[in-house]
Amino acid sequence: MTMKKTMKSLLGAGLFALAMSLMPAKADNLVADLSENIIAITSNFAGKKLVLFGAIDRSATSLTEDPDVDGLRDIIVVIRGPNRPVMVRRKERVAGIWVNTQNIEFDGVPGYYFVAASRAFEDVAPPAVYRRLQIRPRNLRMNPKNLLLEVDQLQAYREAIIRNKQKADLFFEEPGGVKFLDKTLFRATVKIPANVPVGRYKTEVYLLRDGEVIGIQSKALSINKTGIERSIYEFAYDSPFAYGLLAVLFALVAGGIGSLLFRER
Amino acid sequence: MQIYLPIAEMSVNIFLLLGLGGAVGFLSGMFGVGGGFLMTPLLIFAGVPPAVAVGTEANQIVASSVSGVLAHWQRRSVDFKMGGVLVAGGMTGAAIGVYIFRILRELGQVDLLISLCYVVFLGIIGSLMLNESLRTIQRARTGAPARRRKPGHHTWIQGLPLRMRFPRSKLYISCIPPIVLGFVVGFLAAIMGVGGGFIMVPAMIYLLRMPTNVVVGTSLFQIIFVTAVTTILHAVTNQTVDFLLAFLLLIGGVTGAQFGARAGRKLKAEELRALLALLVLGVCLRLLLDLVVEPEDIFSLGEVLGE
Repeated sequence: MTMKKTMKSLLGAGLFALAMSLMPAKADNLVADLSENIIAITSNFAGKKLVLFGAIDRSATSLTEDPDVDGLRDIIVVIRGPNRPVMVRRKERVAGIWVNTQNIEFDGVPGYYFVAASRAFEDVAPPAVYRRLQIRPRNLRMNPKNLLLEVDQLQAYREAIIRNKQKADLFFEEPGGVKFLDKTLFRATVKIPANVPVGRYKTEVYLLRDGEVIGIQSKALSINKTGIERSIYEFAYDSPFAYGLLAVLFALVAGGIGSLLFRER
Repeated sequence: MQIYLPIAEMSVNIFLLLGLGGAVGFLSGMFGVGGGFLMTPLLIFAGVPPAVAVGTEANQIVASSVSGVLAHWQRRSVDFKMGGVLVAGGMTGAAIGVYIFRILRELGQVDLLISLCYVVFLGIIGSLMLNESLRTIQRARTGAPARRRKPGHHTWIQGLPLRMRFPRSKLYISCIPPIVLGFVVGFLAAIMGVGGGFIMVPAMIYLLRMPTNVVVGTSLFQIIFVTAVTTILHAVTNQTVDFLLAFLLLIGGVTGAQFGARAGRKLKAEELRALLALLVLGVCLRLLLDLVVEPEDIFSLGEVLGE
């Protein structure tokens, strides 16, 4: 479909050649980019699939093609949306009905988080590497604001955030989500849901050899509302009184027109 | 065809919204009710955040009441003076309702408040209507005469001070009951996203003893003002009025109401009421289940307000 077409055309456009020519020897041995760097949320936005593609130049760092000597290459792709404070609410049964009884505000929660690796996460790198680089949802520094929680309670809340974000299609963890097309070219499909928060996103591609990061590349991605959606949204938040007034006037006129159209004779 | 709603921040099928507007419009035309008390829960079931459902529905009710009030105005069946008194109470009620709505939203309790209000009111109204219509149907079958309420009974309402003359309604009563009534309905409009006709109309007939020919027009007149104020207040305090959503529901609603009104004339009134009562009870039950059944996840995420 369109995704495949995008892939093919982009690859066909000589991405590989470009990637190779851009790589200075021994230094940058990784090039990656997204199929789109700006996403506009318009009235018919129903989510999107992005393709991240890239290439690694093995010749710059390796002396031989033999993986036993040279080591295995892996890729981890991370896309992070802007942090937004989140209110985590916990329900309890009170007099037979389920009521939110505990509300804790958490900071450092990305509005969107995608991570994919070329194999199972455990095979790509040891847990310490993920912790150090804050990769994978469980290693994000999501902490309660102005409050200290006991370790197991903090853990329960963090797991709840991750679980809820995954359910809302805002957190993704995809082992094997990065596919190598041959020894040098790779790609990953990134799902952007319709309810994605707007703002500046950061894409990071890590190149690993035998579980150690030997190259990082980052790119910006920006997601914005455009067109009438943006106008309505900004209007509603910037001048709420005028917005409300206009909504009412519009409703009055619409109701009047409706009654004229269907007036009984 | 998906459409992105800018305030609800979600993508919905446009035909679902038009269909929803049309179906509720059809029912409101058929039964002669506002439909807000059906639309708001249905929007919540469809995944619209409850706060947005309430704010947006207030906006839509403005439009659907206008056409009704225009028709009544031409028939001179609107008591503007009574309407004005009701509006005064209603606006105060709406303002306090929106304020409480905001506070509860910050506390994470607004969804609960909306659901509870709906369960209580839909439960009461639905049971009363079902009971009444089943009796009427039974009486019609057995041929027993309908019991009439005795008119002209003096109640405590007549004894209240601050009496005002309402020439159109041919009433000379204290202005306290209409102000309180307006207040209650305005408060409910702000919290439930309803016009409140389902409370206003019976209260006008049985409590204020207004003549039935001015009841519906006057009720609609006050609903327009109260829902208009509610819309503006929700837009200012909570930013929960989705213009695009209201517009799409309105298109469906206006069209549906016309067909509903035609269909309604072919059915018997008490049968209609029994059907509506079952529908109301169904929605009530569904909301109640959501409250009492253990949720899949006891944790939920909300946005942080007031930053």
